[in-house]
Amino acid sequence: MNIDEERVRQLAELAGISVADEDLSEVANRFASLMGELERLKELDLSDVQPVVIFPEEP
Amino acid sequence: MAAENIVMMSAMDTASAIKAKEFSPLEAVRAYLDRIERLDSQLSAYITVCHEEALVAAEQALQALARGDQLGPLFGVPIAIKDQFWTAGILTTNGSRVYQDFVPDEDSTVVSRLKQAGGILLGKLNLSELAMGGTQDPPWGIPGNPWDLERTPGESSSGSGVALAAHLCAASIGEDTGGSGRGPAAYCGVVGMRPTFTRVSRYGMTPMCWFMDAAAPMTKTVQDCALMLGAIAGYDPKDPFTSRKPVPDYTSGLDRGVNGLRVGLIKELHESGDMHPEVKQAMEQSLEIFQEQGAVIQEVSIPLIPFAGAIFVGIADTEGAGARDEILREQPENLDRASRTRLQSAALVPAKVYNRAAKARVLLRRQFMEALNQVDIMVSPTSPYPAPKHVDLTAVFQTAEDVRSRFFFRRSYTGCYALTALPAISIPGGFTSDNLPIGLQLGARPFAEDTLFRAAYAFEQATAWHSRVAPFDVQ
Repeated sequence: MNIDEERVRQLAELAGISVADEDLSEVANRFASLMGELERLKELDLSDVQPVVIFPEEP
Repeated sequence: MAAENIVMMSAMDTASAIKAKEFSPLEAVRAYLDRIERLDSQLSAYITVCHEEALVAAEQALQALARGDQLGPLFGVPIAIKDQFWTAGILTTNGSRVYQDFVPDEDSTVVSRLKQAGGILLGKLNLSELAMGGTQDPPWGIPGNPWDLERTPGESSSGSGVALAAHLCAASIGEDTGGSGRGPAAYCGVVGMRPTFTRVSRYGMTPMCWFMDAAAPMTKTVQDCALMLGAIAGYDPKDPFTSRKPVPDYTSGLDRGVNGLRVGLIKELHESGDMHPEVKQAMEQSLEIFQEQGAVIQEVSIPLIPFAGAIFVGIADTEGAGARDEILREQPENLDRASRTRLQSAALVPAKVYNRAAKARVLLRRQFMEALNQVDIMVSPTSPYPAPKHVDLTAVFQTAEDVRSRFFFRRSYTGCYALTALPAISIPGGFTSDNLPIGLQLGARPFAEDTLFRAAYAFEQATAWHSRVAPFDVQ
C-alpha cells in the first residue's frame, strides 16, 4: 500500500475520523511505519494458526 | 525513628516495624506526606495527594493496633497508585484532560484489596495519557527521573517509578499493558512485575487493551513485590477472566536460591546490534552472577521476537483505538497530540492486517512455551538502552524510519511477555558509567511468579544495585 498524506486523509474520512491538517504528517508517518512493520508478518507461515484473545489455562 | 529513615525502608520492613510499635502508622504517613510536599513539585510524581484520607486511615490503623486487631500483611504501609485505578470519591484522571473531572463511585478491586491488607493510600500517581506513551504535554507535569531529571522515568507508569526511586511512597501499583510497569522500573532502578494475565483482577482499571492489561506491583525490593502481588492476586467475580488458581504465599521460599535453575538467554535479543554496549555488558555480568550461584545458563531461540514490537502495536493500539472511538470522534482536541496521532493511525489498520498480527501473537506464544520447556526462566534486558532524554522521547516523528527506530524496536523487549500473557519481572541489573539504572528482565511460564521471585531475590541478594540511592535524594 502506497501511504502518503492524501491516502491517510481518504482512509480517515472512510473511518469517520477527522485528522487535523497539522497532525496529518505525523499520522501518515506513524501509519506508514506500522503498516511497514506489519507487512513483514507476511513472511510467516500462519496457515495453521487461529487467533485467540485469552490463552486457555493449562491444567 | 527519624522520618528520613522511615521513608528509606522497604514496605515489608515498614509493616514489621509498625506492628512491633517501633513507630506508628501516623508517623509513617506523615514522613511520606512531608517528603511529598517538599520534593514533588520538582518531580511531578503525584496527580492527587490524599493528605486527609491518609491521615484518617493512619488514625484508624493506630486504633486497630491499640485494640489488638488482626493486622494485614501491608498494615500501615503508605502506598501510592497509578491514576488509572478507580478510587471511590477520589479523582481518577488516567493522565488525560478527557478524564480531568472523573471521580469514581467505587474502588477498583486492586485498591480495595490493598486496603484490606492494611495499606494506606497516599495518593494517585502521574502517568502517560491513557496509559499509552510519548505524551508531549502532560496535564499534571512531566515526571522527572530522580537519577537524571532531564531523562524520562519510563512510560506509562512514570509516577510509580519516580515515587519509588525518590522514596515518596513505600510501594506502588502501576499497570503494564506492554511494558508500562517494567519499563519505568528499569529506568528508575526499582522492581516491577507484570503477573500472568489472569492473575490479578482488572475491575476498575481503565483499559488500554483489555486482553493484555495487567496490574503491576512496583516496589523497592523483590520481597516487597512478592508481598504486594500476594495482596492483590486471586479470583474476582467482577472480572470473570481472573484465574481460580490458589494464590501462594509468594514471600515464602524466596531464599531457596538458584542452584540448578535453568536460565535461558534469548539469542535474538542478545545478538541485537541495537543494544547499548553498557546494557549488553550488564547482561553478561548478570549471567555470571546467576552462574556463580549454581544456575545453568543456556541459549534459547525465539525467532519471532524481533517482530514483537510491531505485533504488539498492531494489536494493542488498534484495540485501544476501538476502545477510544468515541473520544477520537467527539473530542480529539482534548487528547495530547502524541496519543491522538497514535490512536488515529491505529484506527486505520485494515481488519486483515490486524488478523495477521493476532495470528502471529499465537505463534509467538508457541515459541515462548517451547523455549520454556527447555529452561525455567528467561533473561534479557528490560530495555535495550538506559532512560532516554525527555526531548528525544517526545519529539514529533519525522519519518516512518524514525517511528521504527524510536517506537517499535524497544517494545519487542517487554511487549513479547504481554503478547504471550506470561509473567515477567524487571529488577535492578546494573548502572551505566553515567549512573543510570539498567533493568534486568526475567520471564517464566504461566503462574510461575514464585520462580521469578526466587531467581530475582537471589540476584538481588548477590548484588547491591537495589540499594543505590538516586542522586536527587541528596541534592
